[in-house]
Amino acid sequence: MDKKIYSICGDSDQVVDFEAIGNDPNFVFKNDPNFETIVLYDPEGNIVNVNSWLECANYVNGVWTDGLYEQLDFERMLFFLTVSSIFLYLVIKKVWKVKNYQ
Amino acid sequence: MISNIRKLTLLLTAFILLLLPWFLQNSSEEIRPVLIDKEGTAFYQTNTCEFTLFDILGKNISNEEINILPDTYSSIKCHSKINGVDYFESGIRVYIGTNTNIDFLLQSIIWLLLIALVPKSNKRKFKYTNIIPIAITAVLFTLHLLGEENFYTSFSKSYSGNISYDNFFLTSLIAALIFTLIIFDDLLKDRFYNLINYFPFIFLFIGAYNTFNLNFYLIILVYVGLRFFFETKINVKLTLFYASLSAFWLVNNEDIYLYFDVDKLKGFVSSSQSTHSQIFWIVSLYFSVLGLYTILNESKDFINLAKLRYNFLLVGGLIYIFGILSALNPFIRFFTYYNLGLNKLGMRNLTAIEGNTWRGITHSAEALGEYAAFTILFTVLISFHYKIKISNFEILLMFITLFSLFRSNNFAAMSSMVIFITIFFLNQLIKSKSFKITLIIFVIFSSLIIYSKTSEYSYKFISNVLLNEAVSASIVSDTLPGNEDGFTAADFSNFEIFLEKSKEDSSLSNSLYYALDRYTNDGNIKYLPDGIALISQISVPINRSEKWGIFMAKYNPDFIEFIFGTGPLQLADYYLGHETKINDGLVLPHSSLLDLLIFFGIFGVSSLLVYFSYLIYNNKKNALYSYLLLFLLINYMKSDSILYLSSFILLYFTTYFYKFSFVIGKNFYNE
Repeated sequence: MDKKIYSICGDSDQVVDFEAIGNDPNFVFKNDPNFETIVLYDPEGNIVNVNSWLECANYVNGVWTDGLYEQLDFERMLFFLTVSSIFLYLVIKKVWKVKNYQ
Repeated sequence: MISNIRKLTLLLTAFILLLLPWFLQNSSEEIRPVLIDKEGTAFYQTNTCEFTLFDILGKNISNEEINILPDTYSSIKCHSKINGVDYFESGIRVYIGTNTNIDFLLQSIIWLLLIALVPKSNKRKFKYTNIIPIAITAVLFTLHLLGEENFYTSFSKSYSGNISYDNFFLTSLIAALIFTLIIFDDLLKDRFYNLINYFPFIFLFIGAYNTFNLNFYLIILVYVGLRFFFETKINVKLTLFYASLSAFWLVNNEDIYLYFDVDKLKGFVSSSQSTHSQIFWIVSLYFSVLGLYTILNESKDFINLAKLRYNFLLVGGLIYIFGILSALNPFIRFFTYYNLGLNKLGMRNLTAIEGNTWRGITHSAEALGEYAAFTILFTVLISFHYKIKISNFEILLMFITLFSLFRSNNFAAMSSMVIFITIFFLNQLIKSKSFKITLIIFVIFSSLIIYSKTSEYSYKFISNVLLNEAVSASIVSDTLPGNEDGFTAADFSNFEIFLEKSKEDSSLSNSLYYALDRYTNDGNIKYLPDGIALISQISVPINRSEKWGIFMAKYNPDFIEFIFGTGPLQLADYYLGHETKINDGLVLPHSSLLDLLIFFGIFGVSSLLVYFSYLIYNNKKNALYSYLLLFLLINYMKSDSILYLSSFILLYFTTYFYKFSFVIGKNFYNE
């Protein structure tokens, strides 16, 4: 299963046959009272509220995301990467300076 | 040897950085890229964000049907990937994902590496730490991102103006800016006195970020200005005066988040009229000019004319070569656009377009012509005046530059270059002052006579044409009744009809209403031509009647705005504030003087004119300086070059050139 699904919908042991769901026009997702409703967005900005892990997984398997997924995974990553690069650069500069003075 | 290894390492790093982001991929092994043609379009529309630019290179390297464009709304994940393909009869558009955050980091690093290639000079030591200048630049940067919200929401789906630690869109950009400035500071210290000799490269590496309304050089100049603000003696009176004007602009500013599509002006003009944006551009202009002034002032003894001439010519040649390569291949065109930081993509074909002009990779044929003509003028004047030997390679570069000047079809630049070169040589040959004056008078009068005899238009027509164009661009002309042939009062220059309504009831701009009133109600001074008619007559031979007419139709300041302007680099109110027929596309005033009138009002324009006249008069014996400065002033008068950072820096450099003159010879002959 795509790690994006677990990242957005949370962990689950369920094995989903997405093809079967897609091919069944009468398929109805059952609400899971223990599942906290998640808001998902598609690239056009449409919004859907999903009320079960299965429903969430099905949507995320398409093009839907929680809008934060990319930011959390990539922009946060980029931020920490840049900050680490700054520190690394400053450390190398310091070491280089000390080495040249010796 | 060590220096060569260093340069080689830098070049290798630059090369890897140029290519690596377009090469990295995590695409599926199961599906392979196909040829992009009518059938292949559907394949790429289904498999978006799957293939990198390099994936499709193999199958499409000689595909002449495609045009590669940046998809500026891409997520980080899809940066460098094919995000869309559209089929049109005229060709296939392939969209490559480019993400705001990645763009800033990547493009900054590429241009920093470029600065690293500048040979080291004496070290410039600073008294204070760089923490405060970096912090202030970061605050200004944030202000800019918040102030031009409409611009950035159209470029980034993750844009958020929330000042919060978990707004990683903003924090990662600020971190990237800090990283850039830390590296730049180290490069600056070691190369400070040599930067001036390499400044022509800003015409090749334009430095406009792909998805930002910012220019790399603006950021670093602001930083340099801030660095020196705390270290050197600043002109307190001028600073206080600018601060007073700024307060005026801010008080008068209508805090509107308009969206002015900056298009090819990207990086040196505001896209919004918000207060945040006003503050950013006011402060940025002050510090960037201070930075520029300090660099020029402190390195005036280190200028090497031969090196400068070589770099001007090399850039002139490279601009043309890149223009040709870009036209030949869509992949090269995209890489050139991204890595050089062009304001817009280069031309797709080698043949000239409308008006027989060819712009290559530059934003306009006019700009290409101005740069090429200035380079040739500079080369000729410098080489003969200081008797600097010119190499065969430089002669070749000069011919390439000359060729690009012809291709740009910038007649004004070409003719003014020829005139100044002719005057320069005549000045060397003729020693008699009275003969010189007679010759000048003869040439001016004979030119005027030839023009009036050969002109196909009547005196009345060319006096009216500017107002005709202005009225035609105004909404009012649609409502005018026509005669049996459909001609209206505007076509017959019957301007009184537009003054029948009071200004308040009229839909004409303030400037047009005033001009019509003055022109119609005989504001003439005896024996002197009418001011409006005179401008109209000037506009005809230089092909500016239409553009200046549109300016008059759009320019709608109140009295105070007319005196002091709307603030530096603020075009939004001018462009969108008064409705005319010309509201789509970027129709600029086509005169730097008119641009400055919008920004600083008649007071600012008059002050600048007085200042330039004073400089030219005071340096009248320094022909070299006067010719170069006059050449730029004349050409900028009929173009919007002041709105481009590289052209602005060139004008600033040339204005300051008289201060170099005494040390140039001394230092140059020692080289």
